Amino acid sequence: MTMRTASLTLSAVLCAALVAGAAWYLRSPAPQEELSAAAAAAATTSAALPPRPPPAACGQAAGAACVEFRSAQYHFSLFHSDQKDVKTYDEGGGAATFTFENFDNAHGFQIFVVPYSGTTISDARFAEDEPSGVRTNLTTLMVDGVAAAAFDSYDENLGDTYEVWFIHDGYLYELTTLKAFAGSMRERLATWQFI
Amino acid sequence: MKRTFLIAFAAAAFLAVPALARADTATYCFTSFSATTWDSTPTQIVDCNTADGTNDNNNGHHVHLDASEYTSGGSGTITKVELRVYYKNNWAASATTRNNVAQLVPYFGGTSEGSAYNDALGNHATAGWSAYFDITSDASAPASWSWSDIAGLDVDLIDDRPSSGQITVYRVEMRVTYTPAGDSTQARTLRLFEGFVIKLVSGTIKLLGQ
Repeated sequence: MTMRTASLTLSAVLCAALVAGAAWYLRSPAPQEELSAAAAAAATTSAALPPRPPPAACGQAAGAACVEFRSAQYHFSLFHSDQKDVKTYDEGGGAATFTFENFDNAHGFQIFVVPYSGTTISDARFAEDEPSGVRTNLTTLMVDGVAAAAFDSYDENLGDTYEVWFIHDGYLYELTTLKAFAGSMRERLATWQFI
Repeated sequence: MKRTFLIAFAAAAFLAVPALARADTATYCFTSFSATTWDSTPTQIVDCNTADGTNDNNNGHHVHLDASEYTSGGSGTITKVELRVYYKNNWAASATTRNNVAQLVPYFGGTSEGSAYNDALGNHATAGWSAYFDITSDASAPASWSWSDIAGLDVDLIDDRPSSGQITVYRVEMRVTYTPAGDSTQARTLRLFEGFVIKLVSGTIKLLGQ
């Protein structure tokens, strides 16, 4: 075998391996995990859970795919567009914020999770997290079998926002997006699972 | 970098907001007194109901309330402590100087005298609740409230009677607002597009720089 033949053979093998790897990855997308050190240990648990099959819709833009994000520490999994940058912030006091942002089209949403022992949302808690005090067009949604309060609100930096709040297993979840993206938020929430 | 708000969506219709309140407040009425100069024994002030009261007709007469329904067992972080009183005076259009009110002076730990709190003098001829008086940050209050401070709180009830009139006091109570144990007091920060300027350009939302 000449040097040229050997080189071509090696290239072909590498290409085949690359294609096979890509096919395997697309068939079973590995869920994204939270990035904080505090969550790293807990993430081990979720890594043991099999990946969920991606849904057809997760509020993604045309041409984008759905990828799973899961947090073992905060017991949830959801699908979002693969075009979003995901960041995790440890807020202290057992709370965390997850942001999913696409800086090209200004699409995005935030999940704030905080330990909470109540079964309903107190006015005090609402005032703490929603300084504007705005809570209009209140409706009820179901998120993986849990009743959630969905409403329009306002933030001085973001403008009109759409919020979905719910409580599950000792945590209060507060999801925020720009009001213009309320439809995408609802579509994404349909993929939410408590884990 | 501080974000600048430039976005302008159509204003949402403002509708009535249903209450989502959870019982993270506790109310305790005062149930005993240790000293009094009231016109008669103020038994009906410490029976915790608003059906009957005890009268007084003298400026500065007082009842020192030294215990409440709360004795022990509270948990969670206390964020606010308030007092209020259910009372009436005998103000009348023909006798507007009968404008006395029930005044409350907290005694923190039973001994440390706080400020005086009362409604404005005037027509209180119909029995009802005073305003809530927030004593959380009174100059003599604990810097950080504990449940033992709630147990140790006394209140002096005083007939504030500048000119004339009779008051009838039915009940004095405190309201404690607290964050239940196990809850985090961490408030949310909206980090979505933090540091970006958000602008509406030709109907499309744009992010501008950082």
